Amino acid sequence: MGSVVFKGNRNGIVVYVLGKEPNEIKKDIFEKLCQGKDFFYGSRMYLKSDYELSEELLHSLKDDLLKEFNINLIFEDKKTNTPKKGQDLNEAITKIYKRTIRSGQRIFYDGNIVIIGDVNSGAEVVATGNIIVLGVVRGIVHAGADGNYKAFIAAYELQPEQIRIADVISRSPDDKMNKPKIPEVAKIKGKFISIEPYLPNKLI
Amino acid sequence: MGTSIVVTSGKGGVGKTTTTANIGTALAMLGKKVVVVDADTGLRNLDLHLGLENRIVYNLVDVVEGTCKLKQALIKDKRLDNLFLLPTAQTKDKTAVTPEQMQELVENLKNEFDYVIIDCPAGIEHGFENAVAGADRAIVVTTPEVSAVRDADRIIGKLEAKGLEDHQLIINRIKFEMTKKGEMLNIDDMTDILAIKLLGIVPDDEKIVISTNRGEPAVTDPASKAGQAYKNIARRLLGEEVPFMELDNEESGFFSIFKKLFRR
Repeated sequence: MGSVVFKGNRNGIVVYVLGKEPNEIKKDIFEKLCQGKDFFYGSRMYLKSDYELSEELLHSLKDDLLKEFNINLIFEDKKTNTPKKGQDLNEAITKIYKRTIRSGQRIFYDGNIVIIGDVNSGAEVVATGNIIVLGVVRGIVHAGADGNYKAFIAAYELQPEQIRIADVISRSPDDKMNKPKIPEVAKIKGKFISIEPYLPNKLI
Repeated sequence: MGTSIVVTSGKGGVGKTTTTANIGTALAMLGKKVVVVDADTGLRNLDLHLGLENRIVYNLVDVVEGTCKLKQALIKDKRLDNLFLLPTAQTKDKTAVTPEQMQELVENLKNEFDYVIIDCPAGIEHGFENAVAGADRAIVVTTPEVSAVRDADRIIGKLEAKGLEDHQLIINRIKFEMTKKGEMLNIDDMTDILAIKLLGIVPDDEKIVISTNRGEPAVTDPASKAGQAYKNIARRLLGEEVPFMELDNEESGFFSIFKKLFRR
């Protein structure tokens, strides 16, 4: 006893696993269940643990529980909340940075990135999703880093050294012309990255 | 098999990167196949001096770590076909590379190029060790200031301790008028203290700032005095005998008197 704690909620029984030893966990769960066989009969059970429980243990538990107590063990699928990559970036998880990303800093996020500040020359911002910068982009921005061609980059001012979307790279022109200081959006059109002024309603 | 030359100084801000960019460009203009290597990981600047900052995809650290091939990281200059840049990473630090890895990299480059010019970071720590690791020769840059001369002396000692005896001196940012008045260290003082062979003197030139900001090395500007000095240095590196620039660069003669009058 002691390696597991039982709690009940609306969905069924939640078992908090505190120990790590598979045999001990199994023994403790069965002992506890035997104390109230009829009470637990036919219910649903969830397991929660700080440790990574082995597949082997989970499957043998599921089988035995069903056989002995008609308890349906439901695995928590941690990834149910994460949207599938490359499918709908509009619903991907977003990280917000409230600072200027300076030279030599590199930020990476598996999802969208929103920066409230600038991205300075020599900085690198890499996201598997979209990148939105409420400020000036002077460094390198890479959206859709795991190969998503639908990713876009939007900024108050786009003056980057390089823009990368998926595996397409585009660099700034060599002769420094005076670019208009307006919000712009970069996305892939055909085979290249095209930059367009941001117009509400027109985005993507 | 080419030659590798490290450009170093100890003190920061004396013009190592400017010297590297200009000597590299000048050697390429003289027809040599040249690669300039930025060894200042984390504080790279050589790409800006050459105006190639927007072309960097892979860098020295990627090559060393095996992320890409050496050829993929080399960037061709936009003006000269036989000048290449090997940039370094801005988002890593100096410990990302070891001296052994650097040595191997420089050896590989020497097979491909006539000259491998390495831009050393300021300081005498890990970055310096890396930059010097693969070098056959060294160019020590100093300015006519006691602090820069003392740091250069320290660096020369360090180089000799490593067995790098082939070293030469460039005195950068000389103001001829001030040396003439004795307000600035003069060239003889410096060569006396440092006791190494003088490779060249570069006059102080405000236009250097402009050329750096534009990403066009001074040697590409025929009118630039500093550019001319760097061209001479490149020729000396190739073994030519080129006289040093005249200390007295003020125009003399009848008209110059009038010019001076009007300038005031």
